[in-house]
Amino acid sequence: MKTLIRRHFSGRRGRDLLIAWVMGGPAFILLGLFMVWPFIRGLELSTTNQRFDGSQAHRLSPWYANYDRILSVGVVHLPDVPQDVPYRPPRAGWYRSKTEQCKACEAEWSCKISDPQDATCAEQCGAICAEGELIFRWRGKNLDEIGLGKWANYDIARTFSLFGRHYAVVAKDPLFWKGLLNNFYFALVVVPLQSGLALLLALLVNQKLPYVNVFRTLYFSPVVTAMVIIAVVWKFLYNPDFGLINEMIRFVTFGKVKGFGWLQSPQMAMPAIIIMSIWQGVGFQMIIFLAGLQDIPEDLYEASAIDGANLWQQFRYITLPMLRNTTIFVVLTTTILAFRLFDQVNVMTPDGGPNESTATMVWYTIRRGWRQSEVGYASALSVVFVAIVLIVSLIQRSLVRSESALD
Amino acid sequence: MTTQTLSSQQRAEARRRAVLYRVQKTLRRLFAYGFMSFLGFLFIFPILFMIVAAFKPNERVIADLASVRAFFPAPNSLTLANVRDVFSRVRFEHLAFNSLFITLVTVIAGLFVNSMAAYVLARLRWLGRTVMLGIIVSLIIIPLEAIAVPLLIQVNQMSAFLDALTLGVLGVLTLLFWRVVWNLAGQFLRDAPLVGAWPRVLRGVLQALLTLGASLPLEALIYFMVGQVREGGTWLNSYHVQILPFIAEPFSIFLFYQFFINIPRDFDEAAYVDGAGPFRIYWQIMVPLSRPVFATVAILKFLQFWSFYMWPLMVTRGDEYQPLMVGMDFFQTQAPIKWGSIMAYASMVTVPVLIFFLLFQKWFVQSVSSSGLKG
Repeated sequence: MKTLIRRHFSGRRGRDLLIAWVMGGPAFILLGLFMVWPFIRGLELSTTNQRFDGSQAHRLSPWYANYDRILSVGVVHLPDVPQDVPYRPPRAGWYRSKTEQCKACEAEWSCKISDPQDATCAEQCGAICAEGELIFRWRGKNLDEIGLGKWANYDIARTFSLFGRHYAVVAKDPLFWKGLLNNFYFALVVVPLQSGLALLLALLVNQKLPYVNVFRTLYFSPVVTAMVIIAVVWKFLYNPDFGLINEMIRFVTFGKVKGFGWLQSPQMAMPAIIIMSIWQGVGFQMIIFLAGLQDIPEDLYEASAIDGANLWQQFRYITLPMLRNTTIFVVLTTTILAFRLFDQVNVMTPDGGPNESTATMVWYTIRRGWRQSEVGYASALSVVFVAIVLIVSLIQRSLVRSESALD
Repeated sequence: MTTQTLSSQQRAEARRRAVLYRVQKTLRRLFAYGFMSFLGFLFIFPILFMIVAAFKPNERVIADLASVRAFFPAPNSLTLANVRDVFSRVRFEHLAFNSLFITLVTVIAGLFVNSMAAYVLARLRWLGRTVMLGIIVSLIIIPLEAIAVPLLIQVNQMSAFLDALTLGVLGVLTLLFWRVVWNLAGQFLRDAPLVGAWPRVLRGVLQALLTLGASLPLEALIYFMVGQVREGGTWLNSYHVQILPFIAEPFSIFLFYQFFINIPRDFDEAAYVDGAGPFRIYWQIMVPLSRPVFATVAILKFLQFWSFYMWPLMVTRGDEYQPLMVGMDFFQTQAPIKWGSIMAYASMVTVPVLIFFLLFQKWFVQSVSSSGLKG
């Protein structure tokens, strides 16, 4: 023991230890203070109901109450739809929404379709009003009456029907799941699309043509623009009424396509963010692919040309295999970036978009932890976020490894 | 060997083929250029539109949208009104200073701190080296977004001990930085044509002035920080809260580390034999040999912190310490919303960086491609 101590703390080793902490110390201490410690602190905070205003926090019981709230999700078999679906929302259960035509009809006959005594209304407007959407009213405190009492803490995320029976996906925190799904949606579209486009661009600017560097500059320039700033410009371009993008779509299709609602429509809001993100980020991956392409020895192509390989065969059997490591790197980093999606979303759709269609995990964490100052709950969200990112990248890595085992 | 002369028919055939080949080549090139230009347009049109709209009167911005005029400034209605509007509604110059100051200090201090840490990890043998390396590599995977909320709580209630510790770290850093700059300044002055002949005392004064000047941002940071810390326990709404947590960064350390372990040891052994200590070896041997990786980290960190948004949004109120990115919100939320002004603001933030990129394009491209060598 004594010799061990002497070996490490005296002589050249001892001097090196001192110097290591003087020179490396700033980095180690700063990392410890602003990364490791907050991370550990986050684990601890996630078991409390700490708020940002500094009010007294206490440990929740059970300690995993926050996690339980985040992760609880279930599928509920809803009661069957009754013969006469009411038009007035019940305390809990099915009702039918009134369409605009239905309301017009009611106004015309000055009657109420929701009144069962009113025979004229049922006769005149019954058919029109039956077009209304079936909605399940889900209210925690009234669920006991229809035998769903144990789901009282859950909220409804969406309903679906299977084999004529109605089900609902419920969660204690539906917005978290919505964000998670949106993140996966974003990642599943962006990762292949952006990597593929980056490879295409890299192949284009790798051609031996005069002035090809001009195009490299053009494709890369969005990368040096700040995301927040350029997102505001895109928000303007996406405007459904006078936005440049809709104008261009109308121009290219000779007015056949009227354009989209983009950020205002639940279906197109996420694609709008996706297009913009790819536009801004693809240049970066293009350069990485380009470096990979330039590392491929020229003689491989010459040899294959002598053997009569065409361009596609060269690409398939030389370029792609030689770019394997680069591709893995690009895919892994793009995936992590996709899960960290925040800036664009917060600028273009500050309230999470129509129907929360652009809410993401990070956006939701920041909203709970900062805007609503529920630090304890947001810490738990952060821990879950790290866990998901870790799991996704571990899965990717193991896929990569098993694939290389096949080679 | 018998030599064969080609018949006139064969010669015509060959000529025909040559022409055909040339036509094919030209066509292929035309197609390639056409396709690349089309893509180039897609990539540049938002930026082009933004810059053009910045110089248009407010009402023309929307009026011109339906035609090609969106991309061309109208000569008779060229105006600087939007730029003037930006200056009158926000303190643009102050925001720009904040952004520059925060980014520069983060990048420069980051280069210094991270490369030193990588050096002691790569070159010295000390107790706990492998453990530290393991911790740093595993920290790479933790995104900032995941620790933002606990970090916010932490900087809101910094204890006196942590204040003292961070100030101490900054102090050590400044001393080390002075030592490097002092020597560099000495070298520079000795080699300078006129000053080299001056008396030693005068040169010494000049050397001290240069040292202080070069490390001024760090000293300014300490000055600002001491001022705020003395007032109370919170770090919110300050420069250092936007700088200190991001100086040390695992990925930068990793990039430096990878570069350093590939430099042959013979260099530092030779210096060691000549009596140089580790710190001297670091800045006289390692730093000059690893300029490319310094450029890489500098550019990547610059891009990252210039456009840093989430954290400044969370920790600043009012424009005293806000960077440009957060200042943008003002135009989006405060009525009247003038799109011309928004485009002017966006251009004023974007164009300087674009010019910077065009001038140092080689370095940008090189730094991005070497960030991928990790694979």
